[in-house]
Amino acid sequence: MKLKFLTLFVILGLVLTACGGGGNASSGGTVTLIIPEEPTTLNYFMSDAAIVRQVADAISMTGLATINEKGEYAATLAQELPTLDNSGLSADFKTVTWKLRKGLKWSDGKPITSDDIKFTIEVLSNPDSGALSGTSGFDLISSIETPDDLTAVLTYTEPYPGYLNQFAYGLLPRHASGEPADMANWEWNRNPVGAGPFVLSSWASGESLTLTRNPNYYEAGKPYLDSLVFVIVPEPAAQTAMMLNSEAQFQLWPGEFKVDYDALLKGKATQHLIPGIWNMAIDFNLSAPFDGDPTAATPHPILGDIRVRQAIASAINYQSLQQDVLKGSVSDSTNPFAYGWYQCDLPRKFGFDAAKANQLLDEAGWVMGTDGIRVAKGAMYAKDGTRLSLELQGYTAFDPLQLTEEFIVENLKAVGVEARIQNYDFSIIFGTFEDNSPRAISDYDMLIFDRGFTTEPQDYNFDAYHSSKIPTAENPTGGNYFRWVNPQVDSALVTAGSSFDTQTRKDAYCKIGQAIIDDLPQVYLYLFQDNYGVADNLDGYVLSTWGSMSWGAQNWKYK
Amino acid sequence: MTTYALRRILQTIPILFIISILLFFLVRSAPGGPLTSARRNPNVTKEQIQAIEEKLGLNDPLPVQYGRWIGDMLKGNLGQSIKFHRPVNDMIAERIPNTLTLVGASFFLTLLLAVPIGILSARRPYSLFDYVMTTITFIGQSIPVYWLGLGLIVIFYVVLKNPFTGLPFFPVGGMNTRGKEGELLDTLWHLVLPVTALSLGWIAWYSRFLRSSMMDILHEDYVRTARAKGASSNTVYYKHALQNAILPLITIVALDLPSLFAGALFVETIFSWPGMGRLFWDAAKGRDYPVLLGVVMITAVLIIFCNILADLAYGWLDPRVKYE
Repeated sequence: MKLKFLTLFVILGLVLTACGGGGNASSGGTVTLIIPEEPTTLNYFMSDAAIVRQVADAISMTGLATINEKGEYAATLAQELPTLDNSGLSADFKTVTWKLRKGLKWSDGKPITSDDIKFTIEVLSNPDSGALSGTSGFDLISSIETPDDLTAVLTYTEPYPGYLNQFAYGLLPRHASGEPADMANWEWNRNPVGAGPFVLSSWASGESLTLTRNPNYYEAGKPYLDSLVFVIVPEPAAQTAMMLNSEAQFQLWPGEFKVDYDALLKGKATQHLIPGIWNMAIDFNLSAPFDGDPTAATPHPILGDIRVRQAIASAINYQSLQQDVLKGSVSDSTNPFAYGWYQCDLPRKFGFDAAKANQLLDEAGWVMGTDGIRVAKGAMYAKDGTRLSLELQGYTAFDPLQLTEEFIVENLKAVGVEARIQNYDFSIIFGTFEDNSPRAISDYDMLIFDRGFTTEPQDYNFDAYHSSKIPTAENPTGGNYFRWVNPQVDSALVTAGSSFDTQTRKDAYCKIGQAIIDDLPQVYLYLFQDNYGVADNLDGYVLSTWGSMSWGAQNWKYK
Repeated sequence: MTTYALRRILQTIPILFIISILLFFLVRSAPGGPLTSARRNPNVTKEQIQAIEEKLGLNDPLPVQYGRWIGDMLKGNLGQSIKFHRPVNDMIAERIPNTLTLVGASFFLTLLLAVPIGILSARRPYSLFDYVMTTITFIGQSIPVYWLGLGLIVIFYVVLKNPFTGLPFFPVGGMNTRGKEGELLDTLWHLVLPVTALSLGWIAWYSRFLRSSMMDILHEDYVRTARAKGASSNTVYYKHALQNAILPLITIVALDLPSLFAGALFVETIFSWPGMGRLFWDAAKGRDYPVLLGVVMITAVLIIFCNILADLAYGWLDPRVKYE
C-alpha cells in the first residue's frame, strides 16, 4: 500500500508540475545531445574527467541522494535523508542509517538492496579499487550492518559532515559488477547496470552512445523520453551547425558567447549560463622565492608588504575584465566561496581604484622610476633600487586565461608595476613538490589559475589555507602554496570541519572568505559560468552547477 | 631480389628497436602525465593520485617501464589504456577500418583524378585546360584543410538545402545515420564531404607532380628518338613518357600509404569521423601513454614497411634499377 501511495504522490507531483508549466506534457521522443569528446568510462568513480558525468548521470549515477540545483540534498533511492530529526543520524554523529525505498530494481530487473550499499562502500573504501572520484570519507566508515534488505547502518570512526555527499553519485550493484580491487577492468564500466532513468543500448566508439529508457526506473512514469543519443562532435562549429539544423537539442559548452549564439540560433535554441565551479584568482607568494626555503620564514621582498597586495588588488579593473574582455561570460567573485550552500556574498575591500593603488605604493616606499616601473626607496623588505617587477605564472592553451593575463599586465603597468607573463604546461603548474613545481617549492611571485570546489569543500580548503599545510620537504603534499599563516583562519577551518550544522559551517567559511579579502593571500577575479545550448522546443530541464548536462533527464520532454 | 627484400626486412628489426626507444623516451619526456588533470580536480586527493601512479607503475625508473612495454609489445600486446581501461589492441582495431574507409576513399579519388589531370596538363602545357587546372591545384594546395572542411559544412549542410525535402544535401559528420549502421549507400553519402576536403590537396599535389615529371621526360633524348622514328603521339605519351613519369609517383604514393592507417586528424575532427587521427590526438592530450605509443609504433612500422614496398616496386617497374 505504501508503495502505491508513494507512486500516487509522485504522479500527483508530476501532474502539478506539468500544469504549472502550462503546457501539455507529451511523452516519448529522442533527444540528441552533443558532447565534444568520448567519455572514457561510464563509471563515475573511475575517472576525474568532467565528460564522464555528462553521460553517466543518466545511467548509473542515481544514488541514495542527489544534489539539486540549489546545492541542497534530496532523497532519491533513499526514503528520506538521514538527519538528527528522523534519527537517521545518531546524536554523536557517528552512526548513519539509510533506508531504501521499497520495490527498487536495477535496470536488469534485480532488486536493489542494502547489500548493494554495503558493496558500494566496500569498493570505494578499497585503496586498490583505482577509484579517482567520489571516494571522500569512505575510509572513515568502520562497519556496515544490513539488518534487512532496505536498511543499512553505517558506523563512522569520527563524525563526517559529508555523509550525504558520499551517496549522491550512484550505487554499485554487487551482482553485476566484479571484485572491488578489479574495478578498473569491470565490464560494468562500459555497460552499467544502474538505477538511473536510462540504460545504455549501444556505444559506437568515437561516434555516439545511445540510451533507452530504463523500465525499472524508480519514479513511475519517468523518464518521459524514449531515448537519449549522445553524439561525439569535436568541432565546435559543426556542433552549432547541428543545433542550427535542429539535428541536436542539447549542446555542451558551446564555443560562442551567448550574445552571438542566441542571435545565430534565434527561434531554434538558446544558450543558458549557470554558475560554474571554476573561480579565477591570482595567488600571491607571501614568502621569499628562490631562497631554497619553502617555508614562510622569510617574507617575499615585494609581496610580503600587504600594501603592495592591496595596490595590486586596487589596480585591476574587474568590471572591464568581466564585461569587455570576457564579454560577460563570467560573473563577479570576490572569494573562494562563490556558489553552493556555502556561498558568501562578500564585497571587495579593494575594488578598482588606480589612484588608491598609486597612493598605496607611494606609501609603501615604491617610487616611480624613469621607465614607468616603480623602484624601491625605503620599502619594507626590498632593498633600495629593486624594480617592482613580478612574474605572473599561468598555464598554457586556455584562451580566457591568456586574455586575463594580458589585461592584468596592462592594469598593473598603469600604476607602475611590471608583471611578466610566464606560462607553463598544466603539468608544471600543478606538479608536485618532488617535480619542483614552482608553486610547491615557493619559487613564484604570482600565479593565476581557476580552482573549484565540490558540495563538500572542507578537504580542499583545509589543504589550501591551513598553516600546517605549507608544502616543505617534510610535508610535500601540503597545498598552502601562499605560505599564508592566519590563526583565525586555522581555527575557522577546524570549526567548519567538525560541525554538522550547515549555518555554523557556512559562517566559518565566510570568515575565511573575509580573511582572504582583508589579508589578500590571493585576489579573486571572476567565476566562470557553465554554458549549455538547449533547443527551444525542449522542456522540463533544470541546469545545475552540481549536475551535468544529463542530470534530471527523466524530467525532459518536448513542448 | 628475394635476397634484397629479405635483407631489407631483417634490417628493419634494429631500426624498429631504436625507434621504439626514441619514441618511448620522447613521449615520456613531454611534460605532464595521465594524472595531471586529476591533480587540480577538487574531488581527487593526492593520496589517490599516488596510489594510482603506483599501481600503473608510473613511478618506476623509465628503463624498467620501457622493458615492460617492449616485452608486452613483442607478445603482440600493446597494453591497457590508462584512461579507458581497455586493451589498446581493441581500441586501435576499432578505429583502423574507419580510417581505412576515409583515407582509402580519398586515395582512390585522388589517383582517379590526379593521374589524368597530370597527364593532360603535361600533354597540352600552357593550354586553357592547363591554366584552369594550375589555378585549381594552386587553390587546392593553399587552402588549409580545416578551413575547407568548415566551408563545405557551411555550404552543403547549413546554407544549401534540398528544395524537395528541405533537408541538407550532406550530413555534417559521422559515419552513418543512426539506425543505418553499415549500409554502404549511407556511408558513401557521409563520405562525400570529408573525402572532398581530404582529397583536394592531394589531387593538387599529385597532379602537379605528375605534370612536371611528364614535362621533364618529354624533353629526354629517348622521347625525341621515339618521335623521330615516327611513333604516334599516343605511343609517345602513354608508352614512353608515362611509364617513366609514373615511377616517382609510385614512390610518393607508397610513402603516403601509412596515412591510410595513421588517419587524418583535421578531417576526422571536423567531420566527427572516429578514426586513428583522433585516437592519437586524444591520447596525446590526455598523456594516455599506452594508446599513444601503440598508435605511433604502428605508424612507424607501416612507414618502414611502405618504404621497402616503394623500393621493391621501383625495382620491379624500372629495369634500370639493379639490386646487388
